[in-house]
Amino acid sequence: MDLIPGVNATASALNAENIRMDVVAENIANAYTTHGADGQPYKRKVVSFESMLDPAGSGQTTVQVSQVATDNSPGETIYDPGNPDANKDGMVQMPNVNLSTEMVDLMTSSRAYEANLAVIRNSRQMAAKALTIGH
Amino acid sequence: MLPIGSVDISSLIGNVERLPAAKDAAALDPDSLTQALGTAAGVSPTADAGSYTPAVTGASGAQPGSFSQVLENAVQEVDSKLKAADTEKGKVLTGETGNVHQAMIAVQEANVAFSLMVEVRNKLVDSYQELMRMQV
Repeated sequence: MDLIPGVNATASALNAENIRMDVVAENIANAYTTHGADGQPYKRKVVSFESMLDPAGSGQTTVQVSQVATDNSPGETIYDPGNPDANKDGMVQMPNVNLSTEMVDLMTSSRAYEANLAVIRNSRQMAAKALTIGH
Repeated sequence: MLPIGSVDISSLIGNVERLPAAKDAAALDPDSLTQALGTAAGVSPTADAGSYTPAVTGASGAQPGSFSQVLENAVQEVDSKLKAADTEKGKVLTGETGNVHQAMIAVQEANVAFSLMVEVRNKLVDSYQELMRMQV
């Protein structure tokens, strides 16, 4: 019994946007990390979504995160001889995180989340309005 | 008691009216609900609404597909939604998951399902009162 129309697709989208927000948070948090677990500067992560048929069997096309890939483009190199990660020339390889890009991603994700919340709100209102038939 | 046909509508409505107050969703006791509906006189509607023939089975035992059985199933579905919402809320509150939206969606779904059940109940009570106003 699916009383609120489209709820499965919207719930999956909210989930996916949550994960995207997590990844953006990781990228911003590590924007200046020059030494990761592998000894290399942090590499920014990119989320990609894919559509799938609802596993719950509602027939709706839901969305899920297909992969969290690593962006391998090189980051900028800065001169900072005091940094323990500096090479013999005093140059430090910085992560390839661009804060402006990440902020735009953050806004996109946040707005997408809001859009899905609006869908839920309207679906619920539709269901509630239908119940007033005959009043 | 006012037997209409041979269905004891007043006892049916009496059972429905003993349902817990609509607003008190938190204290909803599914057992009392299903019991109240289960003891209601059994009316067996056929699947086709056009050739609806109420078959009376007496006050004891609801046959599968009977009216009280249908109501009972509906109530149980509403109850399972409320329980699912509770589980989701518990998961968020205990920190098992951070998916607040999933809990809120479950709560909203339970809310809508409950409102639907309340509307059905109101319709039953209304029809009883309409019958009671009938000129004899």
